[in-house]
Amino acid sequence: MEANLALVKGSEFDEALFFRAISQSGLRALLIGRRALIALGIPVMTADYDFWIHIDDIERFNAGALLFELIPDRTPLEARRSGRYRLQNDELVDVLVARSVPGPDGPLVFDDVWSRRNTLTSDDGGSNICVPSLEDLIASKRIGSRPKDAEDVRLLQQLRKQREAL
Amino acid sequence: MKPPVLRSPSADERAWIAEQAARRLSPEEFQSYVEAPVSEWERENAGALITWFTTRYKTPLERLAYARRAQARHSARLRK
Repeated sequence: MEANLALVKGSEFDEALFFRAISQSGLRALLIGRRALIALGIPVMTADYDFWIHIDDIERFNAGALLFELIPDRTPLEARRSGRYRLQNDELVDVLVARSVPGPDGPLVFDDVWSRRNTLTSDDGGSNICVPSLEDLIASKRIGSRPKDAEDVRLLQQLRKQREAL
Repeated sequence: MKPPVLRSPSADERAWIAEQAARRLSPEEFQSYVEAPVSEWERENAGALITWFTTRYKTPLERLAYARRAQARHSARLRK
């Protein structure tokens, strides 16, 4: 019985505490990718976390992640050069740090996306999660251009319609 | 009812699936997929899923926690 439980159980990673730490740190960190869809209310599957953080916040983000034993695969200098890096243990956190990313409809600029962000609040009061606006999330999916990104756009459009109907 | 037990794909099958999943669509392909008409079934199904998810799990943290459990269950079934 114990073996079965171990298979079903996630790792010891305390997700709620992780988001609370980000929220309370004042970091400019946006949850993007499928976890953002989930936080907004779309039940999709994903194994990792995707963040887009301000390029000046890498060191503070890494310091907070270290408390969860998440180790960066690049130095902050290397991350700034390449525009992205990963934090890893048995969890995987992809971190985008570019100031802007080119897209089919023009560049998506972090500062603009940050200024239009949605802040999702939880009952505990200490775990606000920042996600891009629906329009910016859709734009970010267009940049990915994979089949699952197209599926996600359709779901985001459905979510937008449901919200408009309320 | 017992959940279905899935067969773990072979290495070749995994590689093919990964390649297909990571493939970048051309702007035209992407646009045509996104703009394809939404069937009544798809609209109702997606709408019902979102309504169920946001009603059952009211906060973003609850939704994220549910997704994490669902992913763990899914991975465990694949490991069997």
